[in-house]
Amino acid sequence: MSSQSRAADDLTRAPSGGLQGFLRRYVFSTDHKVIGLQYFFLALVAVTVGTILSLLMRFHLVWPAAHLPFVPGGIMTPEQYLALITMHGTIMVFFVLTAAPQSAFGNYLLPLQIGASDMAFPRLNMLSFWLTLLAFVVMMAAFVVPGGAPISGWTAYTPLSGLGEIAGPGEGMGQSLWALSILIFCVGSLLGSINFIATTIDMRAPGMTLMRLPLTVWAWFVTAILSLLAFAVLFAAGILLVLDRVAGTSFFMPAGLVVNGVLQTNGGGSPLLWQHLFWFFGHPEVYIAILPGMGVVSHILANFSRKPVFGYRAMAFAICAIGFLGFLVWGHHMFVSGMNPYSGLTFSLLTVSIGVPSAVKTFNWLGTLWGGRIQFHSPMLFAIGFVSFFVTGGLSGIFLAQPAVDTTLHATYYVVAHFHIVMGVAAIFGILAATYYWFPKMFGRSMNESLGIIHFWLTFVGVYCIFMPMHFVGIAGGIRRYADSTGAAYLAGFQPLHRFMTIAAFVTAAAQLVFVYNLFWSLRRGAPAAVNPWNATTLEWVAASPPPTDNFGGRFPRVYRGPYEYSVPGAETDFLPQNIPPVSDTTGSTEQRHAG
Amino acid sequence: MLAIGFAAPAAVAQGCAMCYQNAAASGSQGSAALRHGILVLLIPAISIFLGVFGVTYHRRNATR
Amino acid sequence: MPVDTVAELLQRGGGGHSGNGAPFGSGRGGNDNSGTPQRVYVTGMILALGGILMFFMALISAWVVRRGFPSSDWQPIELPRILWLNTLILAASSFTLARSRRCLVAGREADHRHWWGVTAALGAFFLVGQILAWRQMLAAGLFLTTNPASSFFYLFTAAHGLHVLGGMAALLVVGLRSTRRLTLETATRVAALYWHFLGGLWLVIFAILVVER
Repeated sequence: MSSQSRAADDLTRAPSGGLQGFLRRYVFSTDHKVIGLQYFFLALVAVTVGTILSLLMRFHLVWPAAHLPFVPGGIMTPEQYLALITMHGTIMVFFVLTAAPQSAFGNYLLPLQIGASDMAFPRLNMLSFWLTLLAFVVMMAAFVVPGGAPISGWTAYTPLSGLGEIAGPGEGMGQSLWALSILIFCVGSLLGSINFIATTIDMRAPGMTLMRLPLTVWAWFVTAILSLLAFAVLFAAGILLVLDRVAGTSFFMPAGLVVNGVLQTNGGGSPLLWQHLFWFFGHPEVYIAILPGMGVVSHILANFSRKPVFGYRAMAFAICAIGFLGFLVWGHHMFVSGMNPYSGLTFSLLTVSIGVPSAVKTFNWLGTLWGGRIQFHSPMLFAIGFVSFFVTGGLSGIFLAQPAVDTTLHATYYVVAHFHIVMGVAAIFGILAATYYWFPKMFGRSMNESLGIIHFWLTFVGVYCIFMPMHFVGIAGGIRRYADSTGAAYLAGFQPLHRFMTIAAFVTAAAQLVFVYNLFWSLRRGAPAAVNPWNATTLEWVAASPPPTDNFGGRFPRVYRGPYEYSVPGAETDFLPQNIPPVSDTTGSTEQRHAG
Repeated sequence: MLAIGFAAPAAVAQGCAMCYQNAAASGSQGSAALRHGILVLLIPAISIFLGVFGVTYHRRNATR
Repeated sequence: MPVDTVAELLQRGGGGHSGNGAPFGSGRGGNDNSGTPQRVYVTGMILALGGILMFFMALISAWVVRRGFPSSDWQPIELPRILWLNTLILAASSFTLARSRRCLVAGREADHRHWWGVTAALGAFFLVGQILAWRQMLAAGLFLTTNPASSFFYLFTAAHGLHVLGGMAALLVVGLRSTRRLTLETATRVAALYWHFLGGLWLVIFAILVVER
């Protein structure tokens, strides 16, 4: 069907009926908005699974000898604990933190924000989602196959992950399914990133210059470049791992390994090679998780401070700098692997240098807020919360970036606290802020504001309760990935702290039900939302709520100004939408009006 | 910070005995191999990253 | 007539004029506002090639490291002689493809189709030649796991060969004029980018395989 007749269809809203119509509209759709929502709900399912896994872990850390009804044998074994760690990390990093900020919100909003009718390659876009969903199903299958889920961590360090069944429960079929899932996920991500970059370069509306792009678009754009390069490397590493596992090659298997009394035949490879390949992907991956949230925060802070983003150019440049530098620092995950100390120094200096653009962004967020007429709606609360957690988590990263300090802190709970605050909290706050902010546009209804505020405060306090004490456990020598540290006398004093963190985790997880309830209730019963309920300036707020298939009902916007023209002196309203041409002064000169 | 950086001891893989074995056994030739392997990843990645920005800048006026 | 309100502008907008200050512009450059401009397919292919390049660079990085480790059981292998012929065939196919596109630009449709077919045939010969190379390797007792060098041989040639297979599919689709959204000019350009890239990539891989003997 041509795009014109599709647009006409939607203008008249002629519904296609029956199962076939439903499938084409909501299941096998090439509409970027539908695909975005598909990713969103996939991420919602994934985060539920990932959270349950983490609650089981936290429970086990405090009550390791407890009888659990659903565990075969009654008491959780250390291997089962490691399986929880592996799957929790994998599901959260890939299917929540990569899927939601970039694939869900990026897909939904990028074309809208640049004034396009869809992504550059809509069918490729649909394929990307279905590959991601397939990857999720394959990953979930690892739970139910003989041996269960893999135990080598989301980082799948070799040789453990390359040995096969002999290495332990979950290392047979479970690890193979994990590897297969990751390979499929890589392809989906690669196709998606091609779409994002090409769309941003070539599909912008007239007048939408690069310096008029919303910062969300900048963030999705740079994230997509990182994604293109990083997932290609992970795909290669995954292929090599699969070959080691099933074909007996030895890319990563060192010689002379004796596992459970059996000498392994493949050898001569290097486990360090896996680490280098994996972290070359792994570090850009965490920036893939956080950059979209940064874009969203800038966007929302401007909107609800009724002020332009402080230092727009610097913010855009900082996104690019963080992305670029993100490729140069992967060695900081490997400080204790025996590397040359001068390599360590290099990686260390590069790592702290990322603090510069990060600080630029943080100060500019504060500068955006300063002097603004701040409206504390729920998206704004979560955006401000993001800044809080980004600072907290970022600061602990600076300590970890020193090889001398990291010698002590590596593999302790200090590291766990650091990356959970930046990824498991800040990035999630970015997702939540985006949800509250764009819900009215996506569904034409408003979320309940009171529930949003309750959700924010419970979560904000809750996650600080979970993760702040964790730093102390780490500094005291609490080792990560250990299923049971209750026998260690030097850590006995920290058990009450662990109990506190576990209880906080359960309470905070329960608090998320407020959000889930609000989300689904508002989908059905929320008050109808206006086209532009937040009085925002960017192009997505021009479209109807929700937008028709071609986004703008055939009338595509033209752009006349930057994305954050709030409280412009002399303007009638406190916001100037990007698509409204400059209105002349009182003399009513038509020449001025016609000057685009 | 620089002082701490320069004072860094050889972080001798106390967290991973097998990594240390592997690294120690490979000597200078092994570390050269790793260095070259790192460059083979880094240089194309940085080039493509900058190249995409180049293409973007070149097409900066290519609005619809 | 002066337009006083934004509302009036909104009423006027959206109808086939451009650059008049209306909030809704109209199509430019030969495409309607909701359509996908042809240049975006070229952009997409360039990006895809970037991703593919990174993938092969990761494999080459693994090769560099694996080969350089002193404890490794690296034994250089004897390359099947047919690889030299295959390299010539693939290089020739790039020339025939370029010729085919020049014919298209010059309006010589029949010549274009002829050379396009020759390119596809050369591609097929290349793939057959690669399979023969594999058979020669197997006959010499060099399997996937025999030693690291043979592992990388199969890995590189298989990965490259699969991409060439995809390229054959693209040549076929374009040759049969089965692309709907792309013009012939764009489709041939995009296919050519991919094909030349694979040719260049093979030269790099071949050089690596030759050098490490």
